[in-house]
Amino acid sequence: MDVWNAAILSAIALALTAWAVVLHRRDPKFTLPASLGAIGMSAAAAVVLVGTHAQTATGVLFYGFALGAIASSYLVVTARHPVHGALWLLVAMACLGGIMILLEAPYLATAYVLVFAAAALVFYLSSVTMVELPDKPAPDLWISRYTVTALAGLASFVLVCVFISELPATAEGESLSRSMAIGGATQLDAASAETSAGSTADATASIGHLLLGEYFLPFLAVALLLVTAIVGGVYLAHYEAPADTRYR
Amino acid sequence: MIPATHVLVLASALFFLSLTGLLIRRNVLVMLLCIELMLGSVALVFVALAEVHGGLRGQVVGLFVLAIAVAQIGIGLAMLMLLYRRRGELNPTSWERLKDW
Repeated sequence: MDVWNAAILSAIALALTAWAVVLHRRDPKFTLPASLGAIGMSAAAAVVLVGTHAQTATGVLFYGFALGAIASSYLVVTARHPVHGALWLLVAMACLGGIMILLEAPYLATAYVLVFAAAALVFYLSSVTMVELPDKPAPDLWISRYTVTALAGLASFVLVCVFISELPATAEGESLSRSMAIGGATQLDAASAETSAGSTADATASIGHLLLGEYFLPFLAVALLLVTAIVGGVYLAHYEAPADTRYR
Repeated sequence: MIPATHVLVLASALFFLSLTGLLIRRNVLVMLLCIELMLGSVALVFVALAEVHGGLRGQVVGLFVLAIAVAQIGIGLAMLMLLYRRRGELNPTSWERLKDW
């Protein structure tokens, strides 16, 4: 791990901690400079990252998607209105899908964007219309929210350090654009982009073979989980609350 | 050229940002969104490590994570609507006394 990586990581951790502390200080006099500082710090880290590591279009795309994902998830967390949060979650999921495409998982990226954009968010938004949103400030937590945010920032830094120390030695300097597909060697560089369609189909077929072969039992368990969710949802929807406890 | 470390750093940053949101926010709708983001960042870790170690097993586990996220938001929203009908607000601290029901 070189010096640049350490600087970038500490900048990200500091930015996260600053963001977290800012979250519920709604006073604009405090929030605006701190938010600008945190955003500027992460932008500087992103510029350093792009300058040192992004020699290719893949790298530039990755850091753009990463910045978009972090910024939009920050907006999800701080959204005053749940609908705004849901729409920013859509942006964050689109950025995650883009990163997954760059990591040669186009099938998973498609599934994520489709499921979250088409299914989950529509369900979510239709649920938001059925509740009356509060407009008074929420009460405090059981411990200070500054303690919580400081712990979260510290934990993120520790986790990052653990990730770096636990990575296999070959992964440290190597690029992820190397090919890994089981169904055949793929190379997602710009030079061989025309061959990636066929190998993507191979990778998808391999995922299907893995799902119905080696991972058949977990696959069945997930199917059972989904059936349970459906039955539970139907049961909850049909449940009639007693008249004296019902709201209005 | 994407170093694996940077993908993992991004995933952990997303995870702890949304974990912070889950701990801080007192609106169950936003807390559900934060859980979705946490699951998404975990799926990103699986995809990145599938690339590092070769093979597609990480992507298969990512699909399982997706299914769990969908089941979670479905059941979570159904429970939320039911609790809202009882208590009339979205603050989870008002739902602490489940034994009263």
